[in-house]
Amino acid sequence: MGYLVVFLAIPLLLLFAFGLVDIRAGRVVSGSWTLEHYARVLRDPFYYRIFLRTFWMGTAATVLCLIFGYPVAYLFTRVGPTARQALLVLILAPLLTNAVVRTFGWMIILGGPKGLINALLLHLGLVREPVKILYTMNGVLIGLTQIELPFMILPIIAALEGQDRRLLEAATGLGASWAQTFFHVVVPLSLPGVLAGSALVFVISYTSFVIPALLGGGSFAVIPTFIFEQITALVQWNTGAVLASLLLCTAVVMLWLFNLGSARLLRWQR
Amino acid sequence: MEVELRGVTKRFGETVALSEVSFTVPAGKFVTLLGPSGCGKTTLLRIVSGFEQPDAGDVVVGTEVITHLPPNQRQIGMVFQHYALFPHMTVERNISFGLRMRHASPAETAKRTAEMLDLVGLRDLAGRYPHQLSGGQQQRVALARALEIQPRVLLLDEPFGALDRKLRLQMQVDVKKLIRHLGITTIFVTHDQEEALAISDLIAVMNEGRIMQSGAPIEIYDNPRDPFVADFVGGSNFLEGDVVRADGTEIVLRLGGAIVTVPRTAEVRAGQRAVLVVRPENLRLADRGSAPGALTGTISFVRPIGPTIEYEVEGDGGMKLKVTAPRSGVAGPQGLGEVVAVMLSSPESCTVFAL
Ligand SMILES: Nc1ncnc2c1ncn2[C@@H]1O[C@H](COP(=O)(O)OP(=O)(O)OP(=O)(O)O)[C@@H](O)[C@H]1O
Ligand SMILES: [Mg+2]
Repeated sequence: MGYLVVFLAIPLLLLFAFGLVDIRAGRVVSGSWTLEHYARVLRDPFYYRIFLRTFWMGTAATVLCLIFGYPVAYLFTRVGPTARQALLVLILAPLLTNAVVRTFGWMIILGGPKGLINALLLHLGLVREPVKILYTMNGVLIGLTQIELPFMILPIIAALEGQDRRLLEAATGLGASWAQTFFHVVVPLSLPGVLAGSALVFVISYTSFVIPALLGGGSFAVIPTFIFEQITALVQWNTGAVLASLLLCTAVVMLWLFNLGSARLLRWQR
Repeated sequence: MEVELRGVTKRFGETVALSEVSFTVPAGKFVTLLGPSGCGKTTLLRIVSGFEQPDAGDVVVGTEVITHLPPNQRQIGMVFQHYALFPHMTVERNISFGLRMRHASPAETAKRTAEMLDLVGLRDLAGRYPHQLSGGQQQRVALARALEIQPRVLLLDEPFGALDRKLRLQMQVDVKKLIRHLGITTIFVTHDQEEALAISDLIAVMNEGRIMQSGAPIEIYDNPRDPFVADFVGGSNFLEGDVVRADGTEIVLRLGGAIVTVPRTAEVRAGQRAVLVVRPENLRLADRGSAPGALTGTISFVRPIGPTIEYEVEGDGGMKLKVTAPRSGVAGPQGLGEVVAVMLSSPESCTVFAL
């Protein structure tokens, strides 16, 4: 409890407070509270665009993780024990490397005309000009998807493992084809895992900093990189604090709405 | 439609789950597979439904050999032991599943589903999810779901196993009536011999992957073809003794100090060891000395509850006898520790097996 107060409640309160007073060059200059900084940010369409871009980044990463993660999770639950162990190592591998080192790795792979990808594409004659992936949103999404795949895959595996295999036989016995069984029984029953994984991946991507900073390379801003810039380079603590608290609040509200939606979808659970 | 198994064998590694089972279920009959746990009942059902492939032999429905037809093309209805209802679908969606997967028209699906809901009396619960239903209600959904596709054959794997006794008895009656009304060929699996005797047109008694005997319930009960069947169905006393005389019509056996005469039912010769199988209700207690030559023993246990009173009598030769008597009209000895004579009520209903 004490830890929660010291390491969570107090910093959070400070964060909100820094948006409600005037701060210049790291010093509080007036003693009175003000809503002016919130008003300024909320009135400016510039910030909405960055928020929208950040939201898009989170959503796209979630969808990509789902597309690539679901088949892997499904495969995992359908193979023998040896293949399973190998697969588990592969699934967890992204979590076993340091975030910054891994991101630099992506920079080498994606980067510039001499990067691995471009070298390959050019060599195979698939493109004539080097394509630009590093320092674009696509590059960021590739990096995000890779690191966050485990957070999508593991909950889906848990949901698939919990399924009663007799339900699949029941469906087949009633005349369902493999595809029908998959889409009418397997997928709906794995929905709790899909939803949990999606919430996790979305929140982590929506608030992620290292990957958009390094793989985006400053060519576009998302809220976390923008906050970093405001606070370290421009010393705009007020704007930084307002955006940080808005980032937090929007994330919480979206999670809450997501949970409401999930609860409706999962009414069949006891 | 008639179902026939021709020499079906199924092995799992070393275990022989089914060993050359040949068996016919006549069209429209309610047939029960009865046998102890692990004797291959479920395996047999799974081979008929196509979830398991036999190592040898064929499955025939009507005139069609379906051994290699995948389960989703067999048009066979199955009710699983734990129902296997789809938890994410309402009662109505569960029942309509089969027709929806066949792309039946929505109008037809709705009509048939409504019929099924009425048939099992669940119209009011159509919108509920399985976890909001009692065991008996779930059972009926599973049945309606299997019947919705108008199956050629209905398979029921211990469908009442998870229900409490009272509900089980009620469901037995309801389901039997319903199935008779529909006239659908049914294979029912149970290890409960009372259940089998109560609701079957025919019973096949299984043991260790074989069908030991099949026939009408009465026949199985009164003329068990081997000691296993006699023991498993109805429970019996097995009294070992020597054949004193065996002619065309009678067998005379010496059991310890007693001599009994029964009609000839087995190929035995004088001097051979044999076993006499007697149902507990075919024995009665009498005062000692009232019947010379009868079995004698001491009452060692009395279970006085229920429609019949059960006695355990410790015979003089060390044999244990189970005797039941109707509760009403009890006469003669009945106290614990009393020394009594044990008589055969009807020698015609006994069976002798050579050892
Ligand atoms: N998939 C399997 N793999 C290995 N052995 C199996 C498999 N299925 C069944 N068996 C074995 O085959 C035998 C018959 O099993 P089966 O399930 O048919 O018995 P059962 O008569 O249905 O028993 P119960 O009344 O307990 O349900 C058993 O010895 C069982 O261990
Ligand atoms: Mg079984």
